[in-house]
Amino acid sequence: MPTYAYILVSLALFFVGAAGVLLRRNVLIVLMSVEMQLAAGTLALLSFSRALGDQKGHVFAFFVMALAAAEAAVGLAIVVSVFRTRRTASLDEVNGLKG
Amino acid sequence: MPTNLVVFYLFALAAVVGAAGVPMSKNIFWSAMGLLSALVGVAGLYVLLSADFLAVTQLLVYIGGVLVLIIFAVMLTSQIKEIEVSNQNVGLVSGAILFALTGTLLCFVAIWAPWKVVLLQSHETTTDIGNGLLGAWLLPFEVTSVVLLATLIGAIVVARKEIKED
Amino acid sequence: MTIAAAQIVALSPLLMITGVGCLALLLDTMAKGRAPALWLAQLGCVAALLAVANQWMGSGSSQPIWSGMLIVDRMALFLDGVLIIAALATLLVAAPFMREHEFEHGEHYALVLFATAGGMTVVHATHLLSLLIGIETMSLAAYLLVASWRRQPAGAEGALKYLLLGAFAAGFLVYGTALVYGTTGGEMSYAGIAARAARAADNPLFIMGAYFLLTGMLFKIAAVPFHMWAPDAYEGAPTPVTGLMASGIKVAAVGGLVRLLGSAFANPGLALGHAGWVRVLGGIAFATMTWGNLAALRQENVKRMLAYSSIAHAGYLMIGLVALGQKVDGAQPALLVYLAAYAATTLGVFTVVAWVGRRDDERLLIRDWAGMARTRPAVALAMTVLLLSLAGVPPTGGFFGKFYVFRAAMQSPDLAWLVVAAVLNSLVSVYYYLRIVVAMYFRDPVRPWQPFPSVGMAIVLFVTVVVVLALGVVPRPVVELAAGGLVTHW
Repeated sequence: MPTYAYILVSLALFFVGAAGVLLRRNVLIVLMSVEMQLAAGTLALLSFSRALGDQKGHVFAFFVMALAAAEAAVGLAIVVSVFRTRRTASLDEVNGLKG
Repeated sequence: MPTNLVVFYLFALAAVVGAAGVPMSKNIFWSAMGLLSALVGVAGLYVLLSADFLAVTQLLVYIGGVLVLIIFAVMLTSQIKEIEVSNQNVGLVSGAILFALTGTLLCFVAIWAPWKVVLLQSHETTTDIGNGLLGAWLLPFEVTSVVLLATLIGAIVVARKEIKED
Repeated sequence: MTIAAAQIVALSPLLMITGVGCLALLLDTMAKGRAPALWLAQLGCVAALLAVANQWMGSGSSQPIWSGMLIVDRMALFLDGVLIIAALATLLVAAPFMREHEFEHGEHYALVLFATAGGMTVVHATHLLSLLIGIETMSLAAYLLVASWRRQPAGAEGALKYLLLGAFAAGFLVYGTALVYGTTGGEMSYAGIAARAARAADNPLFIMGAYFLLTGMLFKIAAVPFHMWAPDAYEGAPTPVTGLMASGIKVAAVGGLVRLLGSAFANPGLALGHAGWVRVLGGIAFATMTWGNLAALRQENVKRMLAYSSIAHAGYLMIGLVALGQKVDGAQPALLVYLAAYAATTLGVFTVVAWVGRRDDERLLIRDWAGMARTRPAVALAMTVLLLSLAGVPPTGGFFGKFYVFRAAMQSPDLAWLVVAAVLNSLVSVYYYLRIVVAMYFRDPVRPWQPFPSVGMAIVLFVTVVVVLALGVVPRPVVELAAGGLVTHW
C-alpha cells in the first residue's frame, strides 16, 4: 500500500481522538481518546519510517508507547482517587471549580 | 485483489470503526471495546509496515496492560453514570468544527504530497531498536526510567488508602 | 557507544537532581519521620546549584552532548539555576504546608525533584525526543503533585483536568514530531530540521507539524486558547505546588519554546510572512494577556486570581518570543531576565498564600486577607512588594523584566501595537493586584490572624523579596548573566 493510505488512517484516528477529547465529558472516554491519538502518532511515525527507509521512527515510537502507558497509569490512579472522594463527598461539591 | 491489500483494508477498517466507536457509543464498556478494536487494527498495520517488534509491544503494553486497566476502571466506577468535569471555558462546537476542517485539509494534502517509498527488505527491527536504545538514544532511554519511576511512586501515593500515622 | 567522562560532567546537575530524588525515596522508607528525606532533597538542590555554577565558570562554549540529544550552553545553565532554586523554594515551603494540612508524604519531595529534572531536560533539549521526554517527566510528576492533596476534592478534579489536557498536548507533540520527521526526510534534531526547513516549508504537512508542536508547547505555558486547565489545576493544587507550576514549569516550557522556535523553526520562510508563527504567536500573546487580565479582574479567590495573572504573564513572555522570531538583538537575554524576575516573584507570592491558611481555614478569598497589615506588618509589606513586581511597578524586578522585553520588542516596528497593548494590560492588572493590598492595609480583619510559624517559609519570603528588590534597584548583574546566556562562544 502507498504511504498516504497509512497516513490517512492515522489522521482519521488522530482527529476522531481529538473530537472525543473536545466533545465528550466522560473522563474515561477522554482518556481513551487520548490513547488513540498517541497510537495515531505512532502509526504515522512508522509509516514515514518505512517511506524513508529510516529506523529512527521505530525507536521514537517505542518511547511514545512507554509514555502512553505511563499517562494511562497516572490517569487511572487519579480517576480512582476522584471516585473515592466522590463517594464520600456530595456531587455538588466536586463540581465546585468554575469561572 | 492481492492478499496484502485485503489485509490492509481489514485492519484499517477495524482501526477506524473501532476508533469512531470510542467517542460515539453511549455505553462506556463499548467504548473500551472500540478502543480494543482500534488498537488491534493499528497493531496489524504495524505488521504490514514491517514493524514486528512494535506490533508485539503494542499488543502487550496497550492491550495487555492499558486496556485491562481501563476496563478495570470502567467496572470500578460503573456506579457513577458520568464523571462530569466542569469545563465551560471552551468553545466546544467551534473547536470540533475547526478540527474537522483541518482534518479534511490534511487528508487532501496527505494524498497529494509525493511520498517516495524506499522499499526495504523486511528484516527484524528489534536489532535496530536495541542498538538505538543503547547507542545514540541512551539518554532519553534513561530519562524514561525516571518517568516510569515517578509514575509508579506517584500513582501509589494518589491511589492508596489514607494511612494514619500515629 | 563509549561515554566520555566529559559527557557525565556536563550532565552532572541533572544527574544530581535525579539521583537525589531516588535516594530521597529510599531514605524516606528507611528513616524515621520525613525530615531526613527533606534535608537530603534540599542538600541535593544546593549541590546541583554548585554543579551548575561550576559549569558556568568552566567552559563558556556551547557543546552538544549525548549524540546531540542535549546542549549545554549559557542559556540552559541560567535556566537550570532558576529551576533548581524554584525546586528548593518549593521544598522549603511544601514541608511546613504539608505538615499543617496533614498530607505529608516523603514521595512528594522526590516528585518535586523529578519534575525539576524534566524541566532541566526541556531547557537543554535539542532533539524532539528529548523535548518530549522532558516535557512528560515534568508533567507527569506535576499531575501527581497536584493530585497528592487527597483531602481536597478540588485537587483531584484539577489534577484530572490538568492530566487530560496535558495528555492531549502530548498527542499534539507526538503527531507534530511524526509530521516533521516525515516531511524533512527523517530529521528529529533541531539542527537537522533547521537545515531542511527551507525545502520542507513548501509542504503543508510540515507547516502543520510545526504548528502541532507549537500547540503542544502552548498548552504547557497555558496560553489562550489552551489555558482552560490552568485555573482549576492552580486552584486545586497544594499551594506550594501551585507556586512550582507557575514558576518552574512555566520557565522550563518557555525555555523549551525559545530553543525550538529559535533554532529548529527559525527559518524566515517559516517564521515571517502571513501564516508565519511570528504573526500567529503575536495574536496569541495579545489574546493571552488580555483574557488573563480580564478574567483576573472578577476573581474573589486569591489563588485563582493569581492563576489568571500567571496566564497574563505567559502573554507578556510570548512578546519576547515574537521578538525572538523577528531576530531582534537582545530578545533572548530580555526573556531570561523576565523569567528570573517572574519566577522569584511568583514563588514569594505563593509562599504568602500558603502561609496565611490554616488546616480548618484556608483564607483564600480576598476579603479574608483584610487587616493583615495590622497584625503581620512585615508579611503584608513583603506581599505588597511582590504584588507590585507582578504588576510591573518600579523599583521591582517585575518592572525591569517587562521593561527589557518591551524594549526589545520595540526595536521591531511591527510589534509596536503589541507593546502598547501589553502596557495597557499592565495598567489594568494594577487594579486587581491593588485590591489585595487595599484589603491588607485598609480593611478591618474579619477574624483573628493566626498563621502558622515556619522558618522555611520565612526564609523563602525574605530571599524572594530581596531578590525582587535587588533586581529592581541594581539589575545589572542578572542582566549580564542573562546576556552571558546568549553568548555561545565565549
